[in-house]
Amino acid sequence: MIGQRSFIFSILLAIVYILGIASAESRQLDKFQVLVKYDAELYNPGQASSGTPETTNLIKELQQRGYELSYESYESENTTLFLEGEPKYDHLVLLPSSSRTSGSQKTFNQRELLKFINTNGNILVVGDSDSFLPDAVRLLLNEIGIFPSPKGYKYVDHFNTKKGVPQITNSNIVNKHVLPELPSKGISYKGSSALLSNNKLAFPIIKGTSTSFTTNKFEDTVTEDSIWSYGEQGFLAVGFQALNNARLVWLGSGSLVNNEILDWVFQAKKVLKLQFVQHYHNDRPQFINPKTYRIKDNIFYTVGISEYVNGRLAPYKVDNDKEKLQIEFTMLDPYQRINLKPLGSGSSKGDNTLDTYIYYANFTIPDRHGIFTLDLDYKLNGLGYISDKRVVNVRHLANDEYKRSWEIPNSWFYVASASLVVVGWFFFIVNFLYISNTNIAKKTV
Amino acid sequence: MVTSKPQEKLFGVRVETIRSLLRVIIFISIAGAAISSRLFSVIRYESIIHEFDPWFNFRATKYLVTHSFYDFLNWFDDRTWYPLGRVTGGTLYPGLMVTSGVIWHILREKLALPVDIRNICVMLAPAFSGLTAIATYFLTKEMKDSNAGLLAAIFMGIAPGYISRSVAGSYDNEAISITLLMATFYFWIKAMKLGSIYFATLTALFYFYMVSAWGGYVFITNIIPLHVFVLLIMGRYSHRLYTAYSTWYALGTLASMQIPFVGFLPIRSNDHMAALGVFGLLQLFSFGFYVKSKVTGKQFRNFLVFSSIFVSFLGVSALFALTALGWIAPWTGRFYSLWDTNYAKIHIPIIASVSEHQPTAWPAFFFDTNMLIWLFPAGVYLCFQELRDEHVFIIIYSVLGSYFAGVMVRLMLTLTPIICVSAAIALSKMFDVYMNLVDVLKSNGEDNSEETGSGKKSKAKRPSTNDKLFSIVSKLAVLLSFAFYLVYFVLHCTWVTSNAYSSPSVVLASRGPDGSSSIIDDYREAYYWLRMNTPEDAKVMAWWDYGYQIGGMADRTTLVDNNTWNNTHIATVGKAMCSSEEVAYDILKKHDVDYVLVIFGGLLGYSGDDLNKFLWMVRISEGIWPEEVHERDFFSDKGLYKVDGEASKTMKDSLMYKMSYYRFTDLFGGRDGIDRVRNQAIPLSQSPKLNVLDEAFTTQNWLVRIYKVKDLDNVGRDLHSATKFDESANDMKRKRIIKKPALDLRE
Repeated sequence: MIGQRSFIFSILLAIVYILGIASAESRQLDKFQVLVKYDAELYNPGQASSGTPETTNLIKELQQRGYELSYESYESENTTLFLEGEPKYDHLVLLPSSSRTSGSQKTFNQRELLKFINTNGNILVVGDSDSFLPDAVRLLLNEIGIFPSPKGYKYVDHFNTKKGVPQITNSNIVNKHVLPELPSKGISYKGSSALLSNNKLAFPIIKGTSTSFTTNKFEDTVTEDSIWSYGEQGFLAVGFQALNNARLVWLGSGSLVNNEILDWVFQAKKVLKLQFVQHYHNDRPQFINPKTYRIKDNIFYTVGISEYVNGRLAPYKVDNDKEKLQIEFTMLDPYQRINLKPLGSGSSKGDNTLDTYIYYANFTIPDRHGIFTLDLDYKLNGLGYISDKRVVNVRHLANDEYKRSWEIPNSWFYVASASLVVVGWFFFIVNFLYISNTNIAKKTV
Repeated sequence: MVTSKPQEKLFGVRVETIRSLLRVIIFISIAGAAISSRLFSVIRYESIIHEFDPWFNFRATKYLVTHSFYDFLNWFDDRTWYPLGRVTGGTLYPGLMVTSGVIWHILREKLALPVDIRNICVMLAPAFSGLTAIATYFLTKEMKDSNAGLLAAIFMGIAPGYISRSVAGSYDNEAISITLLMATFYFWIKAMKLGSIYFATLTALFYFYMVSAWGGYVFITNIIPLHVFVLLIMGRYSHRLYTAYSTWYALGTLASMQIPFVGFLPIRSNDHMAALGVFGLLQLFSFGFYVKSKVTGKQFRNFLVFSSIFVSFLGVSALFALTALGWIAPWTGRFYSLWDTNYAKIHIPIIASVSEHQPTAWPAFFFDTNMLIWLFPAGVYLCFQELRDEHVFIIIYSVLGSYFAGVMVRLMLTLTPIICVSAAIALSKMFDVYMNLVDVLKSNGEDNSEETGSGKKSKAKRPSTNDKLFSIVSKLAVLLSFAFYLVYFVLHCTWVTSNAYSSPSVVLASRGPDGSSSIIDDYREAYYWLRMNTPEDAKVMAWWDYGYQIGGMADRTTLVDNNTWNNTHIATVGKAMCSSEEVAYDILKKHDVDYVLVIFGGLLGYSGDDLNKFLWMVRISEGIWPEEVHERDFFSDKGLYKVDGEASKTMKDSLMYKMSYYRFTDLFGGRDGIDRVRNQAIPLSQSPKLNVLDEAFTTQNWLVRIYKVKDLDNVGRDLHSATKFDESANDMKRKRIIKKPALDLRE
């Protein structure tokens, strides 16, 4: 009896256990986990109105998106971004701080933050001209090539002001993928600016006007030392997308927070997916992605590209002429570089849902054997990266694939002369042995 | 020796029968000796393919037996020379692989003996050495008699010069080529002697087999025409010569053109022009003799003078014109280096870098042939004495062979057969003289046995008993001393074979201080690690010496290998090895390299490692990029090749140096590392740091070190600063003042 009971009990336990896992997973899957790091002096998550209007606005915005927000102060000594090596959060929001130091140096430093990016975490850094960025955050930004101006530096533009506050307009927007336009025609900007290295993965979203500069001396004469950035080399919002598609945005001021930017940094827009890559010989479409081609074969190469829209895959159309998809047929150097042509929407799963846009290229393999790579490398700032490499062998002509001699007009002369020699030789022998000189035949006999 | 008479009988059996029986037994013993002396390596180590090239041949053979013959012929190899690939089917000599493939099929299908293809490959060379002995026998028999033939056969069977390339496991083209060389020459001599179309066709057939098996066929292509040419100059034109040569040349050339790798070379390359020229000359000679038989002597002389001037002018100018137009390929570099031993060193470092292309040191002749080397000139001298047509061949072969063997170590191989033949002629001549005790003994009994000998000097006068004794003693003295030499020869051959030529070089043997032997199996350890731990399509970069082995043992894609067909690609690898990490990383990424493999002998004291070959890498890449790579930069200030603290900065920054000594000093517990090959100390403070590579695997004795190429940095930094960042995080220095960074303008 006891044995039976314990058996039932263990089954029950197992069921509970499974349910537990399932519920835990569903919680994980439902909502994005967001960690907001704040400074207790500037903002108190318990009181909605404690921070600046921009900060409260940002938090409200995040809550409306249904993210599960966790709050931790920079002073907190037990901040961890990882649990058993896996990231605990999907996104990280870093608010301005009143201090350069932060607690928990062991678990919250630039190295951990970089690791967070390397494990696909996204980071939104909100800067401010009147507050610090904690060292960890600043060093991380510096590492990827963003150098925000320190506390006290302000963005100044004496030519575009409204009530003494510098104005920025749509013409300041550099990257339209991230920010198509400002919410209002122009916004007043009170904040810092950043310098940007030539790291290809970091890119400006909003730049300063050509007449602007950033300085920490407002009364004295401006000197070289007191200026952080000049003109269009000062950037007010900078985006960054790592090779693993993790995103980071630095904003010079909380006033730049808007829906488009939040969508972008939290992977809600411009996230592309390569649905499929297929290539085959023009005459043999039934053999998809063969390992080997022959020189001068005609290849049909096709890809399907989708974009995540509201959590669903939708066809992604490359419409801008500048942003054409290209395929390279490379062996050390590209032998072919071809723009892919749009074919139309299609389905990647074979049903009726049109979830991908199909592009194709049709080209002839060069007359060169080797190991070639079909290299699709589509990395545009602001768009999800698409890259795909397919290695194919291009072999030489086999021994039975050359033209036969009689198919080449040039060879007729040689073929004819060779056969003439054979025929002539035959007649010569006949003549020599039997017709002309009978004496020799007799002699040898 | 007993002269044969039809009726002579011994114990009721015809002497002739006994003789053939004895000959067969001797042949079997020779073959047994030849084969068994080549088995040291199998007994010492195991049935394993040796060295470098054999690994490719083995891999190709495996491909042949797992695919069809036509697949093999059209084989495009995507596992080598990445990303260029190699048209392997069209750029190899298929004879060796096809031979073992055929043997494999026969054993498997006809005899129902499913033997592993590896064992066939390992045993092919010893098996063919037995055949070589037989072919040598026949060749020498044509020169003198069957006694000389048997001597030549046993010499050929055990001469170290030939064994060096044909021990079990040395599955190289030469393994079967020497057999074919001797067979071709035998049939050529036969054809030339008899004027037989049948034998000339056989010559052409074996020539074809030879062409299919080894690039050294050019030797035949030139020596036969030279033989004919010399005979013509000696005024020994005959219709037999005409028939033999014309048949051989026409059939042989057509047949050789069927090998894809040879293709149109026989009519386009300068190496083959001599054969064509002699062919034309023979036709002219033939025509001349025809004219001579029809006209008077004076007319003929005029005809001869004018036509010879005209024809030679025409021929030479045509040769020049065609070469200038590019119709005939100019001489290859390897050819030039045959005449000018410094040519390669100056112009083609890749050829000079191969150790077997170095000039031969003189002790090597004695080492490889022992007493034969001093019998060899005697044999040639004897050929001069008789100087029949076939003896001219021996003389030419000796002269050419000696010269070539002096220029390149590997050509010792082609000299060995003729040394064996000549020495056998000399020795057998000597035995003829000194072993003839018959008349001495006979004259002892009766004085009427004049008819037995064929005019021996000793028979002319009737010797007294004293003279007889003297003659017997002197003969015995000579015979005994030569018996001693022969025994010593066998001992020497066995010793050389066992000690010098039986190491697979894939597995090394070493002796500890206490005399105990141990096996160093680092190569296979590393290759096996690659095979088991890396993705199947991983690309491995290593210096070209190890390309075939990586392909054969690790089954991974290589960038360059021992088939050095593309100098630029080899120079690229050399450049990656000798440049700084940043430059090298770009090259590695461009070539999709996943792993880099280096051989490092510093811990073990193995002198054939990559650092000792390093200057060749520098030279070869300097040949292609003279602006970027400078050999001088790799020497210390004093102009020495140093790896210790005095090493130049370029040297210390080079990828090869870093890969070799990475973490090397860790082994020495806080003291400087000692490189046992170069006997230099690696300073602890200058232990190299690697940014673009991760150490993936190092073998037990550090002989092979494998590094993994790092991926591009996820956040777009260069790997140098990425490493710096990771290290800086450990010592958290807090900067109080945030300084404005010095940046280039953002584009």
